[in-house]
Amino acid sequence: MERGSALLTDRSALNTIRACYQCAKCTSGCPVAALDPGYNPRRFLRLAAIGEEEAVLRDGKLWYCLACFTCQERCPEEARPAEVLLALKNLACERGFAPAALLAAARLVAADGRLYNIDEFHNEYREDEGLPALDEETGILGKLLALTGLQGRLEG
Amino acid sequence: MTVQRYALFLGCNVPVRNLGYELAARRVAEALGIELVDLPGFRCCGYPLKALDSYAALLVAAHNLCQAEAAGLPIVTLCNACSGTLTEADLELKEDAALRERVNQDLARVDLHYQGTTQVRHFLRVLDNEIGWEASRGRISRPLDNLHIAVHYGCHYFRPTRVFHSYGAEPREDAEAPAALDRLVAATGAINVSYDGRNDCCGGGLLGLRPDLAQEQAGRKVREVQRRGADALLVACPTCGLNFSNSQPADQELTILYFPQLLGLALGLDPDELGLELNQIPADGLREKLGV
Ligand code: SF4
Ligand code: SF4
Repeated sequence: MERGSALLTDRSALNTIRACYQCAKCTSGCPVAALDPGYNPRRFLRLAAIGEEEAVLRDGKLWYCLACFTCQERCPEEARPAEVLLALKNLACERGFAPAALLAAARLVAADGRLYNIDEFHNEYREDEGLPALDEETGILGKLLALTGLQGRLEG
Repeated sequence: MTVQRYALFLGCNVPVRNLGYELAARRVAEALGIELVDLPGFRCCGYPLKALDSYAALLVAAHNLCQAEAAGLPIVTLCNACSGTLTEADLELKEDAALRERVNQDLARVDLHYQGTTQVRHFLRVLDNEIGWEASRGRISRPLDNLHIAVHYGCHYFRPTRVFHSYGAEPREDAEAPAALDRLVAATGAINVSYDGRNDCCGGGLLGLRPDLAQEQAGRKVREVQRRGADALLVACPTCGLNFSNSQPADQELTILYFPQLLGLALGLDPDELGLELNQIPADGLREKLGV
């Protein structure tokens, strides 16, 4: 089904993999690679470029990417490594490899319109602190998300 | 003085977990003649959906843009993720007619229509570019000359720079090396403490999956800032603030301040009105130093 395809806005980013010449400037500036030597954005781009994206999609470490965009700002070529990783995460999600914690957060957004639900109790607390109460949930995001490909993943 | 009006986009974190930030932003806006309007209908910006399904995130962001369009107001945000997500969505929808058409087909199902008539700005950029520090400078009644402040912008305040450049959010062309917080610190009279890696990520993006790594990353910055002798680390994003606050040893705490709190102190506002007590890390040491 074309509707709700996750790659709608990212297809152009995936094409930039071809510009990557494996200089590794992305990995050498990546904060996650500095914390965990097993995480390597350059390698993810390499695997995707040679048609081994399946290995990337199944690698749980793909989700460690902070989307901090440091790599993309450093890349000397026209590759967009951070956006490529985002597109690969979208593909991994379509395949059912998204981490449970992220899906759980998305379910909250679909159900409550926010990551942290705002109820009467919390609004009273806000008013005690001198802040206005916020409007109650209408269910509109749930309706919108039902139109996208994400809905199936949230149910599954 | 003409009053500037903005729709205040709070997002998910600020109105629940960063009330001090919100309180200070509202008080400072009031003091500077900026009207922040609370619109019913604003929801999650869409950021938490982006890694799962970029189109879903775009649709949710577009829904929020529609709320501001209906009120005829530009949007001001306090969170870097909200700022980045809404800016990118607005940019993509303004530039890509086919995408706009498709999003509008979906929005029609909930009786909304995106037109492209609003604008998105981080509150820090509003102060930096639209109000200007000169306006604040004239009102500084409590110069902070004895405070040592280090600044942290947070990734999505300025990266990807391509987005903020194309959107016209950075007229000063300092997208790659942001300086708004530095200008704020200078306006308050405080001493700006430089440190290595100040444009590095706080690590907050890993809080859901690997909190240990997120805290290790934040802890590195906190230690570096402490080593340089700063009284506080100044932030512009609720996630950065929370991650820095939760990544510290209890016996050697570094005060984390949200930028409107620092400005509010310099403007002479009552510290209790700036929500300092609501921050995760008590600002007692800083208040003592200022004698307030
Ligand atoms: S910095 Fe750019 S060109 Fe170099 S390896 Fe990374 S993505 Fe490829
Ligand atoms: S965007 Fe991801 S891969 Fe790139 S530097 Fe940041 S954490 Fe590393």
